[in-house]
Amino acid sequence: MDLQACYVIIGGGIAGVSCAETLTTLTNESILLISGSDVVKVTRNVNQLTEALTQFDVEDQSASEFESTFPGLAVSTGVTVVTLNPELRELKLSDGRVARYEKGVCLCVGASPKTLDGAESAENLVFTLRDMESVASLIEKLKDARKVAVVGNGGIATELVYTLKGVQDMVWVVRDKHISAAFVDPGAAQFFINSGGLTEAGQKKGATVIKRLTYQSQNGTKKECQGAALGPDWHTKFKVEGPNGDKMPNIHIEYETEVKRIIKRGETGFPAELNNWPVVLELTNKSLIGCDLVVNAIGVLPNCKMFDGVLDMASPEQGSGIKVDKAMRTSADGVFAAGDVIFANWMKEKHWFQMRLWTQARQMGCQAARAMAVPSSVSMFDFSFEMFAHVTKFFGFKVVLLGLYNGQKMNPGDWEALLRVTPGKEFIKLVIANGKVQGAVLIGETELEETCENLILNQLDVSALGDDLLNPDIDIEDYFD
Amino acid sequence: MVVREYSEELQYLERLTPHSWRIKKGFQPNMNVECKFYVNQHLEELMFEELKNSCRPGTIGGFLPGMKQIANVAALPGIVGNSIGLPDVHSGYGFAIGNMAAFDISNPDSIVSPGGVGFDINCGVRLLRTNLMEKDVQQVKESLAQSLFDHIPVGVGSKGIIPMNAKDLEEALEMGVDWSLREGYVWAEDKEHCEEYGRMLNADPSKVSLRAKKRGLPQLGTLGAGNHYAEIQIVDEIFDKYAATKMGIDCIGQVCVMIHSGSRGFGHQVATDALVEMEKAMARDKIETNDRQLACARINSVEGQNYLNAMAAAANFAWVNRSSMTFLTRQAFAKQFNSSPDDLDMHVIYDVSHNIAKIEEHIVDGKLKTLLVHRKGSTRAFPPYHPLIPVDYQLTGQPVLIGGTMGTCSYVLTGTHKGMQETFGSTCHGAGRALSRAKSRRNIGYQDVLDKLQQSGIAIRVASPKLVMEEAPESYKDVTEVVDTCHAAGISKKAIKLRPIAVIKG
Repeated sequence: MDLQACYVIIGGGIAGVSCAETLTTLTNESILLISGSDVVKVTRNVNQLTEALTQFDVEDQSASEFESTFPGLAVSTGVTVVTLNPELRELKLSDGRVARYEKGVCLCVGASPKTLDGAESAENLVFTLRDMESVASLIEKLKDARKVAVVGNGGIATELVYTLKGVQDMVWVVRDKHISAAFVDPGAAQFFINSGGLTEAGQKKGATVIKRLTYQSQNGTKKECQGAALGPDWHTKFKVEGPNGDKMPNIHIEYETEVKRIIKRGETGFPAELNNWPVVLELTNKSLIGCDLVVNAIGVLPNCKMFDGVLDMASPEQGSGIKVDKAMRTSADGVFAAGDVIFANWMKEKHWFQMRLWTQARQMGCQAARAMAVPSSVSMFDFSFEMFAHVTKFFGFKVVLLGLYNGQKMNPGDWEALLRVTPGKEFIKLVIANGKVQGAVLIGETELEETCENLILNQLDVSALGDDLLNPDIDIEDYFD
Repeated sequence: MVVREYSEELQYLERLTPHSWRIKKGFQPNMNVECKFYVNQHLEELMFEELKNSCRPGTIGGFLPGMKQIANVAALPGIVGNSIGLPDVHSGYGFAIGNMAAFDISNPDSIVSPGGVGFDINCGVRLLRTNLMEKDVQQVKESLAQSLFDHIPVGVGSKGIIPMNAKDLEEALEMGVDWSLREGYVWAEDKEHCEEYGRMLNADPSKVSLRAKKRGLPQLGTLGAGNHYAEIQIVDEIFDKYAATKMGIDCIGQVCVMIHSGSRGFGHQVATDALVEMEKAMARDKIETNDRQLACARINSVEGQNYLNAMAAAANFAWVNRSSMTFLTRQAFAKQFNSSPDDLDMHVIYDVSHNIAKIEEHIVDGKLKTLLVHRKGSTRAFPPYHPLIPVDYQLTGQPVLIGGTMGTCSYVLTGTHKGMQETFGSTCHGAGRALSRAKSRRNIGYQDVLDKLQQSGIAIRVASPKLVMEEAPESYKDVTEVVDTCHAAGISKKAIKLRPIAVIKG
């Protein structure tokens, strides 16, 4: 039977769910959410830390439970979109059915992990970490692992390295000069390392209650698509452990190198001396690393192939993705998109840039809902895209990133960093250009989020204060009150 | 800034009473009037130490000591009376926080300065009473705090309980508490017990930038971070039985709720917009100040009037905010105790503002004048019989709510005639952060962190303390000291002391 609703949303990740939830508060018309998996991502405990900065928990909920929370919302699972026809306002689904939307459709189909060369033939030994299901599989595999290689330098790789226990050895392969490059600078990275983030002692500080996640799959259909991206604090919901129980692995980091290819034991070119390992990584720096398991966390590509020719897309050099404007509108009338699948194609405000994070996915989902249901209101809410803001946790520390926190969009000579560091407690870096604060990295409980946000948004000239802006003996929050 | 020797600076300072000092003209250039600041012995030491430290050779940039800031304000055109420093005075942008300055409106040179109001326009405090006693609340403290936390919305866009859209915002900015009243969120009596009756009539939303509105909309009805909080408090001590009774406080152990909040991002944007506009106009109007942060405009200029009207809109925003939270607090309590806010006698005792500029009539040199009074980190404290205070407080004087820092005790004071004369009816606002209490921040042992950063080609500056601070737990201007000083100086009178038992932070 074909499906029909006033508003249709494709995707049960954070963008799709935020869009659906917001829509339910804005309209009484029918809403249909189509999700490839049985499990959707819901946000809880939304905490508006400052204007731009929202902290929230992400939970997995069965699609049926989610559906029952909102009258007027129908959820259909186990199918994906094959084609889109904006003129007819129709989508063809993977099970042959058609879904029709009256007023609008929002594509929140997310992005898929990039693959490593040679990964396919070594399938059981290479894990691409992307969603809850792949984590569950990873946990299974880890039971017997002696040595694990983690490839990638983003948020997920960073969190995994911090969480992985019970494996004797770990190799972390990063493309950049320092770890967690997407988020922090070399100084902050060193701060984490000094604080024992990668050691036993450091671990004890960040202990959280870890529970095993269980969920019931509703209809047991085989999944043809992956689940939604992991969301914040995913690692606290799993015990990601190897045979050595609780112990932290010995971690070795390979900097400024990438994986050239993956070689499975028995394949030509497999180095004989590493025969006690089932898989070997050949790195671009010529190193050969043998291990039991490779975890791929190198990044994602938007899932927009099926819309080729129908919607305007960004080029691969730009990073791919469906082009949208500030109101999340695509090039086709009535078609919106939000989350990891999009490419932000508007004149960006100075202090904002796109990054495939759950905070942005949520904002975009909400914005798309407003644009679909109450188009006239949308310009009042686009403040979400005024300043980059993200809060996360690395190595047990709260990490707040505001504005141009790494000097993005600026030339190196044009800005300087004002620092205050207390080893093991806090790391504060303000990015200052033209006497004004342009970005901030706040690690630890600094209580400076709102102050920094105001300084960046106000663009107040603080040059007269000089270094005193971060004088450790003064509580600066008050000064700008 | 003129950097003199400390001993030379002292020549401009003269003790008036055990609780007050006078700053003579010449301490800073171009002073039009003298200054006065209120202290007790300990606070006096802090003030002078701050001054001494700034006189050391090699001190460049950074914060001006409170005394200097107060004196720079005295150099602004049109100022009358004294530039006043309250006991909790400490460094701020432009004006110090805890500085009151009034300007004669009839003088065409008089100015208005956003720095004299603060960025968080109408940051203020509201106190609700209940007829509950501590024992009623102690057992359910946790769930009550949780209930309050759950009820106070986290903003538009997520499921806020008080819905708000752009049109609502415009109306709220114009109408202040009258909007809340129309929407059914407050009781009519609440208006009576609020400065300006919760609405500044000269508010003009059209003078507020779109950016300010965009910043404000998601925050309306929210508590905010930083030093904004809601506290469940217990009456700990009653100093003035008569005044307390008039406020509905009958005995020790009575439960109250204090809400401390302002206009946040909205206020910040209004202030920032005005500072930018005014800086441009200063050359045109030939205004000079001792400090760039004291950007200002003639009261009657376009920039001055625009700011005052936008400031009023921001003030209304903050009152709507506190009203929304009042509504939700009443709901949370009613639910918890299975009663009604009415039966719980949850009236607003009063609502005060401590970051605002007001037009008021005062006696200056024996003559009645209309003044623009800037109170930044300072609270209005009108005496008995003043026409602008509610009928039920005519005999006691206006209640003044002093929130300490979150987690410390709070006070209710009343205004006095002496205060009316000496400080144009102004008193302190809370505690003063002279120096940080976080002594654990020290900058040693992270050279490798710096090295790594430098290697990546970034220019770095490191913020280090200017002085070596030994244990300095007393460097903090504690609220009790501050309130006692105002009492001793006679500019306000202690009525009630409250202690917190639960805190809700946004």
